[in-house]
Order: sequence, then C-alpha cells, then structure tokens
Amino acid sequence: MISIGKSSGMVEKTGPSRIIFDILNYGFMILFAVACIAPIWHVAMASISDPRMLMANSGILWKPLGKITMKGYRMVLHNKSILTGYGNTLLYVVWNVVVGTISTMVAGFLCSRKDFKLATPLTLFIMFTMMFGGGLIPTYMVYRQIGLINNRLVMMVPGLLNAFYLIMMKSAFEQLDSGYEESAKIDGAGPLTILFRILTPLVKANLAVIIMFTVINVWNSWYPASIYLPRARNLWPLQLFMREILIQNDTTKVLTGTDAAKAADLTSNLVKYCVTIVGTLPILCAYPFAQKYFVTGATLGGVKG
Amino acid sequence: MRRKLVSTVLLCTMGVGMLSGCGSTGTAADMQKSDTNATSQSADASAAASDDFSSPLKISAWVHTDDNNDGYLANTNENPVISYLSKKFNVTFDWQIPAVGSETEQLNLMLGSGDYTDVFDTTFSQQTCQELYDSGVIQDLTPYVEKYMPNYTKYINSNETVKKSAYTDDGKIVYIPDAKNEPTANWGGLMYNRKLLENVTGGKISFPSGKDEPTTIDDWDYMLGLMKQYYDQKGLKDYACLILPAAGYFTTGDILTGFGTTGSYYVDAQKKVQSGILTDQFYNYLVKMKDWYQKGYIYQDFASRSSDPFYFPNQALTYSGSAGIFYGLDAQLGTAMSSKDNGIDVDYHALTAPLDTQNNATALPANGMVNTNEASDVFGAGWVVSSSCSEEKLIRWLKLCDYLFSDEGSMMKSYGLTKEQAGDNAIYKKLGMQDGAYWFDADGNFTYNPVSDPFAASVKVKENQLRIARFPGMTNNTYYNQKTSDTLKDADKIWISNGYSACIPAGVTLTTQESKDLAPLSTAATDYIDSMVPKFIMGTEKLDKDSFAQFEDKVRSLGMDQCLKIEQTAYDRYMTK
Repeated sequence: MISIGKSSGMVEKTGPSRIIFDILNYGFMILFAVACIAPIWHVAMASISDPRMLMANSGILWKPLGKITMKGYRMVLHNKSILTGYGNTLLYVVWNVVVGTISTMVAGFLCSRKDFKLATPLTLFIMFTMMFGGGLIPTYMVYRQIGLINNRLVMMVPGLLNAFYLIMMKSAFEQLDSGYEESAKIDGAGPLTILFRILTPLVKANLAVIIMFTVINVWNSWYPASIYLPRARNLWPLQLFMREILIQNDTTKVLTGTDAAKAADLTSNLVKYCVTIVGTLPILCAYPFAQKYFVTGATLGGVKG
Repeated sequence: MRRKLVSTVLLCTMGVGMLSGCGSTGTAADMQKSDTNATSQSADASAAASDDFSSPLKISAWVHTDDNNDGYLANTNENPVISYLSKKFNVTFDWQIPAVGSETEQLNLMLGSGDYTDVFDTTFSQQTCQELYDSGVIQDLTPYVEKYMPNYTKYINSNETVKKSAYTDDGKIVYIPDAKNEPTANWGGLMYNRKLLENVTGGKISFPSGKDEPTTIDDWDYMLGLMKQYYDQKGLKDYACLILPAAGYFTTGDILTGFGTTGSYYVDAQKKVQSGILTDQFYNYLVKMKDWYQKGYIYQDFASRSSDPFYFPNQALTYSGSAGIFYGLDAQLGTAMSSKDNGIDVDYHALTAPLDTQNNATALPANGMVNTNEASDVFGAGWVVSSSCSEEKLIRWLKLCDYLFSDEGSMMKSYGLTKEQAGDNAIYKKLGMQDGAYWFDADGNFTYNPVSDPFAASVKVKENQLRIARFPGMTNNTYYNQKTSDTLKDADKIWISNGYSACIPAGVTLTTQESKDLAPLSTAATDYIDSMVPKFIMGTEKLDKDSFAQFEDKVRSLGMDQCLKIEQTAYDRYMTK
C-alpha cells in the first residue's frame, strides 16, 4: 500500500508491519483512554443513580442504576460551605497563578543570569528547601509566631514560590539562545523589557506547565488549611469542605441511628460521588483549554526560518 | 549600573516574596500569655471562692465534631444550650474545631506546639489522661472538684466502679467525663437473614436446639446449610452465608464468646488477665471455622477485605440480599434493607453467639467474662484543663460542668432547652419550637418536640444542633431509651447475651512507661495472630493441636506474655485503688 504523507508530501509505503503497529498503537491508546475515563464515568453515573441500587452494586457503572436522581447534588449544593469554599479556592488559585508565576519567572530569570554573582548560592539556597523541610510542628510554631495561623495569608504566602518551578524556569531561560538577549540590548531594551517582552514569549510552554501544575495543586489543596486554619472555617478552600462532607456522609457512619428509615434512605451514599464531580468538574473543563497553550507554547520559537 | 540596580530590585522583590509575613506583631498576645497567667494567679485565688460570675471570661476550647455538616458545634456559640450556658456563667467560648478527619493530627499539633486551649476533649488523644498529666500538659483538678463540683462529687461517690474510673492510680482527678446515667442500646451486632430460611423450608424452620432462634453451633450448622442451599438454588456466584472480618475473628468477641473465649484480653475467675487467643476454646473456634470454610459457608474472599469495617462488610453483598450472616448495624435490622422493586426481600434478626455444644460448652459467656467492664458503658471520654488555663477560668469551667451533672443541667445537655429555658432564643423561634425541645405531658410522659424528634422519619433539625452531646456532664439516656423501638431493644438483649468482650475494666489505665512498653509488643503479637488465623481457616496453614501449640508459642515469644504481665499490673493497681 502506498500513501502520501500529509505533512511532507513524501510518498510513504505502508506495509503490513506498519498496519499491525497502527492497530496495536490505536488499540493500546484507546484502552489507555478508556482506563482513564472509566473511573470518572463511573463516578458520574453513580452520582445520579438510585442510592439503594447503588449500595447493592459492585463493579464499574456504564449507565445510571435505576431511576435517575439529583438528590445527591441537591444535598451538596444546599450546603452553604460549598459556595464559601468555591470563592476561597478561586481566590487562592488566581493569586497563586498570577503572583506565584510572576515571582517564579522573576526568580528564575535572576538565577539564570551568568553575570549575577549570587545566582549560584541563591539557587543552592532555594534547592535546599526542596530537600529539607522543618517538620510540621516547627513550621506551625513559626507560622504562629508570625501571625499566619487562622489567617488567609497562610494559604497565599508560604507556597507562593515553588522551588521546583523556579528551577524549571531557570533552566528554560538558560537554554535560550543568548542572541535574543543581546539583540534586544542592542535595540536598547532593559532587563524588564528583556524578561517580559522578549524572553517570556519564548518560555510559554514552561509557563503553561507551571500554571497548570499550580492550578491543579492549589485546587486540590486541603491539608495546609486543615492544619493552619483550625478556627477559620470561612477561609477554608473547597476541597477541605468536600473532604469533610465526604467523611461525614460515609455510609458506615450515617447508618447507625434510631430509626430504620435511615437504612432505606441512602441518599447520603450518593454524596461522595456528587462531591467528587462538583469538586473536579471545573478543573476537568479548564484542562482542555489550557492544553491548547501547551501545544502553542511548545511550537513557538524566536528564530524564524 | 542600571543592570545592577534592576538585579538588586528583582532580588529584593523575590526576597520579600519568600519572606513576606515575617515580623508580624500578631503574636504579642501569645508572648504575653504566660506572663498574664502568672500574674493572674493571685487575683484568681480571691475570685475562686465565690459564685460571682460578674466578670466575663473567655475560655478557649478544643472539641471535635462529626455529627453532620451543620453539627451543633459548626456554629458553636449559636447552639442554644451553649448560648444559655454562656449567659448563665458569663462565659464566651473560643472554639477550636478541627476539620473532620484531621482530629488526631490537630490535637497532636496542639499538644506538640504547646499552644494549648484552656480546655479540651481527649477523645482523639493518643496519650492517656495520666500521661498528659505526667507530661505537664494538664492540671490536677482534685482540690477544685471537691470544692466546686458537688454534683459531680456526689456522682462519683455513688458507685465504686465509677469512683475507680474517676481517679488516676495516684488518687488524682485530672479529667471530667461525658458520663451516662444508663447505656443506650448497642449500635450493631451479628444478624442473620431469616427470610432465606423461611424460603428454603417453606416457613418450617426447625433448629436442632428446639428454639425459635439459632443459639448453638448445631443451629448454625443447620442454618448455614440452608443458606448455602438457597444461594446455590438461585445460581448466585457471589454470595456469603457468613462474612468474617479480614482477621478471621472478631476482636469484639462475637461468635468467639459462644466458644467460651474472646478476641482480646479478659480477666478469668482467679482475677488473672488472660489472652482469649491463647486458649483451647480459640482452637475449637478455628477448627469449626475451617470446617465451615471448606463447606463454602464462610465468604471465600473474607481475608482480602481488610479495608471493610467489621461492622460494615462488603456492602454489595449485604445490600443485595446475598449475605446470610454478618455483623450489621441497628438500622439494618428487620426489613429495612428490603427493596421489593429490585427483588430484594430480607428480614434480618439479631443473632447471639453460637454456644459450642459440640465441645460441651454449656452456658454463655464462659470464663467469667461478663460484667467486668460496666464502667465503659457509663463513663465516656473526658475533658481536661490544660496547664495554660488560669485558675479563674478553671473554676468557672468546673462550675459550668458541675451544672451539667445536676438534674436540670443533665436534661439540658441531653435533650435541649425547655420552654422556660428557651425563652426568646432565636433558633427556637425560627424553628417554631417555642414550647421547648421536650416536655412532660399531664401524665408525666416525656415527649419530644416533633420538630427535633430523633425518632421521627423526617425532622427539620437534627437533635445534636439543640443539645451538647459531647460536653462533660451527665447524659440522661432514660427518656431516649424509653422511645427506642422494641425491635432494637429486643436485638440489644440478644447482643448483650453474647457477653462482653473487652473484659479489662475501662478504668484500668497504663502508666506512660507501660504504654511505651506495651505498644510494640502488642502490635507484633497482633500482627502475627491476624496473619495466621485466616491461614488456619482457609487451610493454607496446617491446623492441629501441635501446630496450634506452635502458634501459641510464637505469639508468646513475640511478647504476649509480657503484654499480659503489663495488663495484670495495671489491673491489680486498679483493683487496689
């Protein structure tokens, strides 16, 4: 079989081995995609299933069990904490993405400067924090001393500069051809112009990765709030509220009670599925849009042919 | 020059970013806290002697809650009872409530950092109250209790067992319990699906013991045989006549007590602490379980279900009617789990442990295992006062707690506010409960307000939002128990007849050193036991007298003998209090 390569216009010969490879390749990729989608699909179907039938079910659901119900979603969305949590999480995500990314970029740029004498010790200092932590109680005591406990800033300041991302940015800047910077300098550009107008577009791919990681990390974060915001529920992120709802509606707990009606009304069994959907849907929706920038960023180049 | 300047500015920006937050003055109050505590001691002493609550106090309190999303402590100070107590004692509470699921970590963090609240609940403490006291975290309350808590003093002097539980081994009171005037019904136990037996026998169930309900091993043999017959006839592939926990035995003693032993420690007739595992009766249990496993009576995959709670095994089986016998919850009794629309027709009855008549056991329970832990039924988790609490606050707190041991306070703690107490409380008004959370009718019968009746099928507000279940004080269960359904009361009688399993009295406490010594030994021995028992039952490990003797030797060599010695020492100390 002979086919014409779409991109290059070259004629390719497609032999049996190529066909077998394609079949296996596509088959594997489809299986892999199904394996990724199946758990999410199961949760989505379970969240609208009949709770009684759901309790008696084992295995993956491909369609809702019994009559479709939105009871679980009503229970979740009627919880006032969800809105509070959404608001807080959005604030933390936006703050960390905007301020965190700018800080990372600036720090990465600085550490990548060969003419900056403190670049190496500063990089080592930052790398040190990647490998060694103070431990929970000392960290708590430091935060307490500086007034971060039960303070919104504890969610916005300590994790602002991620050492790993900083190293990524530093490497990205170092890999760029020095010609970009030199030509910009000849044209009279200062460091800020060089950083934000010349170099930043060239490291878009790295930025996209960092932003996506930051969004996912902050969106999923609940642990720091559980430790450092014990008296400030109004500052809790969505995931901490959701974790609480999930544990509180654990069927093994809610079933002990005074009346048998509770055994029949198993709506709370749906809550864990509904909470999962409510908590992950925004990030799932955002990811495909962000992915576009991965591709765009990766294919952008400063040197035109 | 300009480049250096920009570099410096950028460096400073980054430095500020990294270190922002430093230098806060918000901790000045904390810094001064110890000084304040020290200087207030003398003032407290004079304030202590009176019932004058004119000076407002703020007490910080750590408490956990997992009741529900709008639990009574979610808006803690709005809770009507807390609001009432705050006014009565001129106290405001600063609550520290950990996120659900993070309780132990939060409490450890508080204890580790030294940032104690004035009072805290020890339910999630990994240290005993004795250990907390020994390490200086909490205060000795003995002189204050005797002076300021007449109701509590009267309570602990009313019963010798309670008194033993109230004091530490060295004669100190270091915590105030959430006590109960009487226990409530058990929340779960063994249950069997009687409907299966009726279906197979056409309603003519005939237990070998001649009784209406299964009570002996012979009865269970008969019952399990019928269950297997039923499931096989239906062609079910995934079913379980009997679901055992992953370890192969119930540490709570269920089933085992029928054989005359238990899954943990017990005190024998000679007042010696023994292990229920290292007994001939446990061997008899293993032999029988192996027999049942081979016959297909026991759930074939039981050993792999280690993440299932023992009281909530494989829900796909239990809720589809494919489980004959399992450890269930009170709300699952009867036909509650039936679903006619889905063809699920079940009728679960409470089940007592099977008396091992095949090995000449004659009565339940054996080995004098009953009535040795009555204190745990009435003496719950305790609240302690931290070393950072001032004496003035301590006395006010204890007076408040003492009120909750009075008849009036006990009713309030357990059931909420009466009409008179509720007054113009905003929450009661909003809920239309101006008549109070409960009342007594003309004949003196207790009646719940339907709005918050915990036994009603549907309520506007959960009862925990109107009471303070986890506070120290006396929980009055009398009226609650009166309202409990007959089904549950009957089931409870059957479950209690299994005998107690945690046979070491609840008041027995270990010293700090004993706890340290016991933990690794106990873990090693238990891990070995839990790995071997399923193998014996499934037949992957030879089971006869010799192999069981080797198993016992190994358990002893792993530290069980030392564990028994430590428990014996603690028990003897408790008995001579």
